Amino acid sequence: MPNQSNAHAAQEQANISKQVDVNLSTLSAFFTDNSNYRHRILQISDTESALAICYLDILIDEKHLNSQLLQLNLDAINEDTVMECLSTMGSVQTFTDHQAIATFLFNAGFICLVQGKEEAYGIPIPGYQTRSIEESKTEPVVRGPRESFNEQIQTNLAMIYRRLKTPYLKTKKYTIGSNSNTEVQAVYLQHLVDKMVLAEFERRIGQVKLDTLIESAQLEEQIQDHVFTPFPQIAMTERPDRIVAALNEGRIVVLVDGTPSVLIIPTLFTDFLQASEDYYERFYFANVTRALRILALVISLLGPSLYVALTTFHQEMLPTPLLLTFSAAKSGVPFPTFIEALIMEIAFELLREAGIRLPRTVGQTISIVGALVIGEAAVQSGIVSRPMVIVVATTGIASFAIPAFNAAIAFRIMRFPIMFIAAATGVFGIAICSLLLILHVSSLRSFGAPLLSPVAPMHWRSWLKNIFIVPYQVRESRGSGASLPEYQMNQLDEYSKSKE
Amino acid sequence: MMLWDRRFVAYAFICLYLLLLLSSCSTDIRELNQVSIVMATGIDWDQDTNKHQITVYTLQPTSKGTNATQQDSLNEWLGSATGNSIMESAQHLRFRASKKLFWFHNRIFIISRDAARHSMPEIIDFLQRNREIRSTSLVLISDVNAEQILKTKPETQDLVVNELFGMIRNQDETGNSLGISVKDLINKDANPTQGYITGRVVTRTPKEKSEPVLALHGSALLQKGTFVNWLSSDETAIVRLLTDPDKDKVQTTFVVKDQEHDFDSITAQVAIKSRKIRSYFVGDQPEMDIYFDFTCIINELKHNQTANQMNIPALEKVIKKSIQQNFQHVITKAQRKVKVDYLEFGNHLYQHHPNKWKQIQPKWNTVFEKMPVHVTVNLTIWNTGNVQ
Repeated sequence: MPNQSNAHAAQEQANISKQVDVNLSTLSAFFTDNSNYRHRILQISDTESALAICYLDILIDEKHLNSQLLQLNLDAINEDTVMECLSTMGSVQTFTDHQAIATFLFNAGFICLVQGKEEAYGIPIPGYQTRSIEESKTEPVVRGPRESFNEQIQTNLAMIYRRLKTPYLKTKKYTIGSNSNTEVQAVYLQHLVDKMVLAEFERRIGQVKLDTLIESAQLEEQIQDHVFTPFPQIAMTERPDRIVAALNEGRIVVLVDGTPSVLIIPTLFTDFLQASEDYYERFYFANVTRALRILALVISLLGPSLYVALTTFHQEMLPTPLLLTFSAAKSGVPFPTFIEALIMEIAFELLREAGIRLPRTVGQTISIVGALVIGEAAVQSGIVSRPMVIVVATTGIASFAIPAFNAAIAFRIMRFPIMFIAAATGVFGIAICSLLLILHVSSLRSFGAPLLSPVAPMHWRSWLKNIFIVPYQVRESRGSGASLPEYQMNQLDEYSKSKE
Repeated sequence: MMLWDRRFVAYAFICLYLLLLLSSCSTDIRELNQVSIVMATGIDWDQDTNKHQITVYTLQPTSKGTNATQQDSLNEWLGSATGNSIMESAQHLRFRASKKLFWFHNRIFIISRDAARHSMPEIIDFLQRNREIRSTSLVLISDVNAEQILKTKPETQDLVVNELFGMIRNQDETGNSLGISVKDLINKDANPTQGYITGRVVTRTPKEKSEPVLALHGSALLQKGTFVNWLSSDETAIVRLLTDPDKDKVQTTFVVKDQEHDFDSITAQVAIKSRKIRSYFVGDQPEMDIYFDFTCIINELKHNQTANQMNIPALEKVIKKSIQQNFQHVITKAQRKVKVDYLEFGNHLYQHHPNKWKQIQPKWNTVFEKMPVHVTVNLTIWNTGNVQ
């Protein structure tokens, strides 16, 4: 284990020495077996003192570095003027220990070591490839800004800054992950944010324990209020316009380097049913779409269960002509309705899963096979009845109509237990399940804010803001034009204590 | 952050408890391909054997073929069984039925005249007790065997039951017949002083056909759980105008033959604008004032030229007079000939003079026979038709 012992030795010599050679050997020990670590020693002629630079060649723009070095008047550099000279190359950071230098090198910068100085100078000069700003693939709109976040936190932050040109916009930087040292930024508007939520957020993020932070979901998992519920309590988006709207409502947004998914804290359940385009179209249309989404939610949760319950327990609830149609379709089908529903649902879920994971080029095949299997072949071979195909297809479409993917999958999962109960107890079971589900969701909180607010607890006035869309002229507006969702923050204190 | 939520455990237990119900409740499952859907039921009584017979008209839909052009077909099954009671006959029906009989979608009950005369109380009790029978199903009385009615081949390609249902629905336009629901039948039969009417279904062979077809014709009068008499179509229309709770729904057509005026023959379609019935007592004798305000559309005139503006008051007068006479005729017939109060006068007295009603209720039949009823008709011609 020579590498480890070298690293340990390097850590022991944490502070930078006046000797460039000593510093370079310490750093080399740090980066043993790392082929991308480079260092160069530049002699400064008249003083015989040395200037060394070190970097990770794959992270920085080497060409740019070379041209910068050429422009540098090496003769003018001495212990006193080094800072002055380097600042022409970019913003200079000063380091006094090797650990910090190593971290800086990983953040795409180069380090300057000067003979006789007990500090090192770092200048960021990133040169790695990143994905450009592209149109959002998961949250597309017809009208509205097209750009979406990418994997680089600086680009993402810039997109927010460009949209909110106010000194009230504050960012707090955290570094999370003992191995990944991932940059996390919490952004909020100082005059609108709820101070208690902010304090609670800081408390929770301080307790996060992670080796490697890759996706904001890992962070979400550790800072959310309830672990064992299928329902998400923190909304996620990759649209900057949505983030800006959230900031304007006094929420905190959390950006994680390396992922375009940005978290919104706190979240209300209604957020999962809203798309940013709701605010870009005329309000009549937006309200109708929102109503449709609520319907879609109910269908995606209860669709097959209701069909199973109605056709096996409560045939009297169906109109006679409809019953005759269902009955005709059912004749000759070998399975009980419930098994039929289960077969189709599983087939549909398989297809959906396969469709997501397959490479694009093969994706076409899956959709053709899926259409044949689910649409035609299943009915023709007499395994399932035609109405069942329609029910499953409608349910599938309905679950796609919920804008938030993380909420939609929760309903997708809940559909199955409800189906089982509907097959055993009919509409009565569905009613009990729905009741339990509503009770459960209304008990959930997102950073102290009841998830179901403003429905439970009831705030009629907030309905105009969070559930319906009314024209600006009718909407009660704050001085700044922003509107805060009315959370019930009063219990947050006790709540935090109880969690501890 | 608390990882294990106590409420979650509670929910999990409730769910587990619900799972226990799985086995106990699954016997209630009735798969669609295991049921035979009863659409119409006929109830007969045979005088010679003193037995009841129940006939069901059921559908078992099946689909033929499995390709995209597959067609659904409805397998009809007409089954009947006899027994000492209606329920017993219904149970005997299960000897023949291959699937579970499912009564929830039964739309029409046909009761033969003999059954209505002999065992209406049992029938009503049967309809009332059976959980599967919908209170909105309609009841018709047939003058032949109910089985025969259900056996009759439908005139159109539709089902017999749909044909009958359509016929009943059409009667709102003419008021000449009707079908009352099981609920109304039960409620009305509970009142011993009042008679009530429901549709009469007959089989007749029209000239252009060789086989008999179904038709509605007037209504059947029932009282105290027994069949009393048939009423003609015209009488039914008048009774509906007088008693139908939904007065805006009923309309009827009168053909007025008037020799004295130039109009000669008028066909007028009338609808109720307002209906006021007032009862009062002169001494111990109740009296009734009935006031109708009709709107009227002229459908047909023998002499077109008579429908000009000048003649409208005269036209109104003639139609008014004729309608008034019709009313008087029906009321007189009910009082003197049939001697059954199916015009709901007793109900009216009970609602408006409850104390006096208590006194006259025991001798209501004799009081009803002698009760003076004054009918006033007002009528406005709304439209004389397109021909000017």
